[in-house]
Amino acid sequence: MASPEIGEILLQHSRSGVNPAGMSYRYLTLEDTVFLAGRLGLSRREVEIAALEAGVVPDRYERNLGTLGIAGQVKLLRAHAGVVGVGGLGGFAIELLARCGVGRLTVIDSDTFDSSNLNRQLLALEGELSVNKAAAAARRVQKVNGAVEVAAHSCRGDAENLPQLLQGCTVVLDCLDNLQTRFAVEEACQKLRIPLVHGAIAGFMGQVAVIRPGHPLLAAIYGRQSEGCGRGVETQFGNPPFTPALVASWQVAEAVKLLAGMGGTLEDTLLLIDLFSGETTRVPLTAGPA
Amino acid sequence: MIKVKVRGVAGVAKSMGGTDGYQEVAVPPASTLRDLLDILVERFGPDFSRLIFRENSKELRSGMRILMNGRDFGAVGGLEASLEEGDRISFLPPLSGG
Repeated sequence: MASPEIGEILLQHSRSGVNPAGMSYRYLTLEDTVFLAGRLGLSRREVEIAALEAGVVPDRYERNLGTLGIAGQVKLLRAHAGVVGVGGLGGFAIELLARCGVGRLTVIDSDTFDSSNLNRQLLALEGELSVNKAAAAARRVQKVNGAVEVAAHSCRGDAENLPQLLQGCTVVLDCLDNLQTRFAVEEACQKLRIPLVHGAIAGFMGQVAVIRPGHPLLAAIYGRQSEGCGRGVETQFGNPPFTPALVASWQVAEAVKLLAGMGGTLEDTLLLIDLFSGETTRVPLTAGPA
Repeated sequence: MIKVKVRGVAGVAKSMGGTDGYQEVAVPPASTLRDLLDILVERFGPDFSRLIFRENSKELRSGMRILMNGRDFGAVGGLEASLEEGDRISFLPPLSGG
């Protein structure tokens, strides 16, 4: 069926409403999109894209539109985000990406949950310890937004497998907890020419940077890979729950700006957030190889 | 004398007089990063020294990153890197938790 015909069908099934800004708009409920996907033989993601392109808003995204606009929401639904690491940062990041409506997610983590994760990891639940993190993330996304297509990889990312696992992503989020894999992710993203949104935490402190193709920054942030220690000061200061929630939010905001082509991203800059003093600091970085 | 700009970021700012922005420091011409660290230890005292150096040693602690003009100091000559007028040197803690 041609897309104008699909748009016409979606328009016919749409409802009329008024958004919080007082503007009239056409919308589809969640039940409508599920029904129409079945009837038209399309995925829910395809129905949502076709609806938005016909000027019909899936109402689950209505509160996104003031920020993203219809064109921005379509770009997110067509986008593909990779999340490497499903711990404190990754759990919150995946949740937010799914709620934003980023259409495809690739999540990578070999680990299983243990009780030391319960203080900060959104997907760590008392009744589900020892569950694989990547698989838990995929199940959560399906419960939050069934239009999002998830590929879950229960393996440790390394220099060999990451270029293949991240192939096709349009942005990657570094939500890891060790330097070796962080450098491997940066290398893969440089090879694939995918922008990478780096995040890290320790105690009250967090950091975010956007690493563009051709501008690797991890060597500036951590020192040359060969000299780098495996972990940072988080071994001393711990990981309380509020820091990963904040840093993951900031990473997702950067990823969404990149995917929606909104500009204003943190490039060649390390943003340091100190939740104890309440200060943020930008440190300009110079790109260079690891 | 030439002037360089130094700043401590996040947890390091407190040991450098509590100033978050850059501070100007005058150093003799042809000074190195190592010379600058000696001047900073003299200016800011033992709190700063403890963050930068291992105990009773002039060896750098592994848990501290030093950036010169936005690059890791190791990539621009390490402690023997020559300082030039206007160089920006930042001290920051390495964060890697997730």
